[in-house]
Amino acid sequence: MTGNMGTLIVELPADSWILRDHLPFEIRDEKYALVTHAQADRPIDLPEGLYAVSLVLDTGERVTRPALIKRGQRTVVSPASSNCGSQRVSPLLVPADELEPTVLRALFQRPPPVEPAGEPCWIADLAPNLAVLHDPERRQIGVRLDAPDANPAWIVLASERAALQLMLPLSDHHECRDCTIDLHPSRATGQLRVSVTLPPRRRGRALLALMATGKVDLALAVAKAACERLASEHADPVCAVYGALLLERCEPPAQRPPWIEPLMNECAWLSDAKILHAALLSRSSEPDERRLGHALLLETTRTPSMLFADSFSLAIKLLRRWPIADAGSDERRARLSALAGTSARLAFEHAFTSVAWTRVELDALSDTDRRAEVPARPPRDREMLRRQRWPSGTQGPFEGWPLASEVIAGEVEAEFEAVRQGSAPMRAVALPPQPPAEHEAQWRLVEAYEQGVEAFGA
Amino acid sequence: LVVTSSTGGNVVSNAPKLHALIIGVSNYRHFVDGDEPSPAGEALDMAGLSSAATSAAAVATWLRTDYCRHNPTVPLGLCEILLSPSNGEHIAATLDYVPATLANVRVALFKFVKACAADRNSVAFVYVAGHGVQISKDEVIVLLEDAGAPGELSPIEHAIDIVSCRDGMSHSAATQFWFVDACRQRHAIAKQFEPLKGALGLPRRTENTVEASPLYLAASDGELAFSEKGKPSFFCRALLESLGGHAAVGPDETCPSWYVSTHSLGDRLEIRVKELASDHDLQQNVVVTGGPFAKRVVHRLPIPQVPLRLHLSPGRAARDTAADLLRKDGEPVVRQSRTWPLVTTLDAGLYLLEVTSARPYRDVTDILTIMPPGLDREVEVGEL
Repeated sequence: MTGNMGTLIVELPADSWILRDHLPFEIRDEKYALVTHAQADRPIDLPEGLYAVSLVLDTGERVTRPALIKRGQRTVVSPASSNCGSQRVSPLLVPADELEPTVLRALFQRPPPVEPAGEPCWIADLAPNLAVLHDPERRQIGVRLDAPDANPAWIVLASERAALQLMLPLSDHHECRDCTIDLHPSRATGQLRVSVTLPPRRRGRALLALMATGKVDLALAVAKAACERLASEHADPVCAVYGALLLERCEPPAQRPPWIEPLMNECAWLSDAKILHAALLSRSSEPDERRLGHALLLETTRTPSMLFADSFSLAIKLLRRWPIADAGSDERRARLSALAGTSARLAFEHAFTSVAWTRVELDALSDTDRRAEVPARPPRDREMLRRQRWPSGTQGPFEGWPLASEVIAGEVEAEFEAVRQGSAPMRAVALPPQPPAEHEAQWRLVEAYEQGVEAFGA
Repeated sequence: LVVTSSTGGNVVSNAPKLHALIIGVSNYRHFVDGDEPSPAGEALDMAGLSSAATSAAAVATWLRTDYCRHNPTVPLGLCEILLSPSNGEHIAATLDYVPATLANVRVALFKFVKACAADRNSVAFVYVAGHGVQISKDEVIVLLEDAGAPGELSPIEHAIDIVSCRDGMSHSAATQFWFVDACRQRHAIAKQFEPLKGALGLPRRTENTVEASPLYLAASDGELAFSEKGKPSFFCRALLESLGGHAAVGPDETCPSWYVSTHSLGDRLEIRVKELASDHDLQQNVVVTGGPFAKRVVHRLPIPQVPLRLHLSPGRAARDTAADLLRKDGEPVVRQSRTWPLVTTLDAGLYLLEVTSARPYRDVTDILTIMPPGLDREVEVGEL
């Protein structure tokens, strides 16, 4: 260190691999011009003066900390978040009245027969491979995966009149076997918030949180820095692929990442990797590789599987526009037709999917997969909602189930009778409608009009 | 080669240009309250607007003034302006425009597409305001002045499908910005047809060479887009505020001067439109969609001037308390100010605040990050 230089040390929480090594931050000078980007937790020598250290933590929170660098001195900046936990709050809101007094049932995959609701207490129905520990006082459910081959895990919290399905990010493959579900009913708002807390070892969650909070540029930086390592160490292959999908969408790489194909082979269950690999092969100059990619795309879209919405979008794009225009166009058209139901029900208007609703099913029966992840919005048009129900007679585990937040009360209750009798599938969700909220919104609109506001539409 | 433009700014003569297509429709002549009501217009069950043309005019004016002044490296090229103002709207006489009818929009779109396709390095800028009708999730349709004209083969024949136009330009200007200021509620006519086609659009291209093409929608699916009657819409106000500096970021590897980026613009629009709607107890959520989303410069601008307001706590300490605001060289920007609250306007950036008080109050030193749209801060001097 020479002359008028001082040292800046940025201290990041050490319990997060992503934070410690890879979360990028930027340093700007007093005129807010960029001085440098940095990623490592190492001292940085700077001329004395005022600086702003800016980064987005793995909670998605953007933090800027000013620093005064003095000649020959070390200045420590600790841009820790006020909330460094991994808790994610579901955007789904359920009227609390519907769940209290209540009998909540935690059901998983193939549930045992369920007795009709009885005393207002909590009951845990244990599936063969899922342990559910409940704490009625704290309104907390601890879930632990006890057996393999249960990826992903679904849980349905059901009461007399309402139910809520959550997809739990549990995976035996990734040693992520437990999580905690907290229920926060609010008498004041009449709604219930549900939060799922994951153990901190989900290393790629910084990337997901950045995307969930719209920090696209920083997420890209994390993806560039961390994807390969996430994949190569099998630390978090799901997030590795998510990062690669992000790069594919925003800044398609000129070179094919070498880790995609091995990951695809080793994690055969990860269909996102197959679609991504197909996309990369589609740009190959080798006709054989393009043919291979085409076959991979068709194979992957043939069977139902869990996907990030970004993967689904990429698959649709490839099915529509494969570089070899005349190759397999009939097959692609057939796939597109089969997936049309899913496409129509997904909101692709959002630039990027958020963590809470990243997974969709690549299947015409996947409608229900928006259930717990779609922000609840009061239904405006009963007729329209009715049309969005699945056609009767559809095969598969989602038969006849409506979309979350887009259902009509009587139908919901009927469906739940079926659930209780064990004759209906468990991987479904339904919510009661929220007519008061709808009326309230309409009243607000009327009042706004009276105050001189106009709407650019119907 | 640098020449001086008619707007006073220097322009690099061989630089890629920004081509703009601006459409604002308030007057719907075939609607029930229009000059020539028709059965088809009345069936749309809408009334004319009072601010869509005003909003579009404000954006066009911004392009011709502020944008031209600060963006000599990407000067304004073609600027097609189509406005259909209502009787109560006043459009500046200096703004040349033609009515936003289907025929005029078709001609303007043709010129716009041609200009953008001529130079891949050019920039496309599209702003459309008017009555929006949502037919499906994949379409963003805005009705034109002659919507509901007698003899229509489709209820949306006199409308423009923005998503289709955008898809049809995927071989064109590498950088494109699309702004749609319209409602996105499902219209009743959508139930009568499956699918409903007919709006003006472009054939979808198989090739896609665009590097950035964000589509900023004023409302999310199923939502309304609002304005105060006679004033620019919430979305337009937020857009112009953002471009005026509220979404500005400091110089970095993308741009050597202060600038508004595709990313910072989206972030700010979401926040500001939500605020403006919330002030009227309404909900309106901007959606940034489309893509690719490469970070690109939307607008360059000088260092933003940021309002600063510092309050002293407790207020009784004001008589014995003075404040200095310093920068790196130690030269005070504000020297020994004893007026509280301290109200001033400064270049955006970092400042060292030194507050000196007489006993029993304590001195305070702090670093202020003064960034658009402003900083309102309380300085606590407490008591020793």
